[in-house]
Amino acid sequence: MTKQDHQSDRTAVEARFAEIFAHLGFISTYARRRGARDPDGIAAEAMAIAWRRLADVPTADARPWLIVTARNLLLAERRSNPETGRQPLGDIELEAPAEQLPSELDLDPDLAHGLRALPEKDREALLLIAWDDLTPALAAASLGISPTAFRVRLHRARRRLSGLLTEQASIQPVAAHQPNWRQT
Amino acid sequence: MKDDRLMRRLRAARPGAEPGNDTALFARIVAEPGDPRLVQAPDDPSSQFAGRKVRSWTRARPRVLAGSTLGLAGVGAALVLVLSGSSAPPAFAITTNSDGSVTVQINDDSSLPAANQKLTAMGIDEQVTIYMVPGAATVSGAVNCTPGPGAGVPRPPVKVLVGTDGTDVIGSGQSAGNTGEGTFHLARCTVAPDSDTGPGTGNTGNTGAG
Repeated sequence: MTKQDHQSDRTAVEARFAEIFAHLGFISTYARRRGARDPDGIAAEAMAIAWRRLADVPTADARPWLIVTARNLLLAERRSNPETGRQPLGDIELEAPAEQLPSELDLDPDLAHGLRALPEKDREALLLIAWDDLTPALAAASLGISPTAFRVRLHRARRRLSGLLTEQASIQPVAAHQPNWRQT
Repeated sequence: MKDDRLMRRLRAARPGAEPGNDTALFARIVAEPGDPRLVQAPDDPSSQFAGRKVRSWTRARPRVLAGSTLGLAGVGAALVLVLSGSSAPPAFAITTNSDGSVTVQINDDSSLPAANQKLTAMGIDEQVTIYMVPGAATVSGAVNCTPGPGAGVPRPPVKVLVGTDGTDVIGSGQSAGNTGEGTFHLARCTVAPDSDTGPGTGNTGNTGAG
């Protein structure tokens, strides 16, 4: 291989990585929305891993691969932190102490209650679509399931969250209109 | 449709997005060796980032075996690190214990020279040599340093703690010749005069028994 070929190869590889690196903000945002203590660090580490394993990163869209990597790093972060180490994957730490919550996760109480009450897999399916703007196919890839299975999971998650929100809405007016109501 | 309203409500509650560009980080990562299936060595002159000093890019993960200021030599399966002076910013802790011993906690590779300088400033005119071996620590805690060859018993006794439990994870390209990639733990450490950086009789460090 000539020096010129060598340089061309190196440039092509770095250009390929630049396409992946363009998702740095996306991964940092993903990590922060999932309650990471150091979302920027997780995103940086995910990118470093992508560089070291560039041949494994899908060329079509790197986001599912990066999400899986970031999720593993998030788990490692939580294992290393006794305060949040027992929280399951995808838990957005709504029950964590307020000072540890980014202000962006200050959801309205009903929605917070609904998301918290959802099974972890259902919540993640919803958030991948609603918060991370992934297509169902990409979301399915990031969860390691088929698109069909993802559609079923998403439908179930919507139904469950809708039911939880309806339930919340049906409770609140009672309290609002009967201020003297007491539980016996 | 009810589902659409639900998704709109979820989207409306979505936390904001992060900016997605960090040129310096990109340069640091690309200066690493990269995937051996696709890229050449990090000192490949064709890389626009060749020759740049590689530094740790995460705040949370300590790296000990990195840095061009470190002397790195293999002794059997062990890696030997020698602390040498430089002007690297401190990222370490030196604690004087109630029994008179001194504990050096090393949190970052760049802190090693500074830790050595600090020891000297404290009147401990010695170099601390650290022996790292593959694998995670099975015994946590600081390791008592033993005298290096020809060295007397250090006064006060010196202990070294790598990270929080004796384990360090080294990424690709973080050590000379890329020989130190992986997970390591502090096997033992010695303290010797500045002129002596060789190995001495050690202890079991964070390796543990059995």
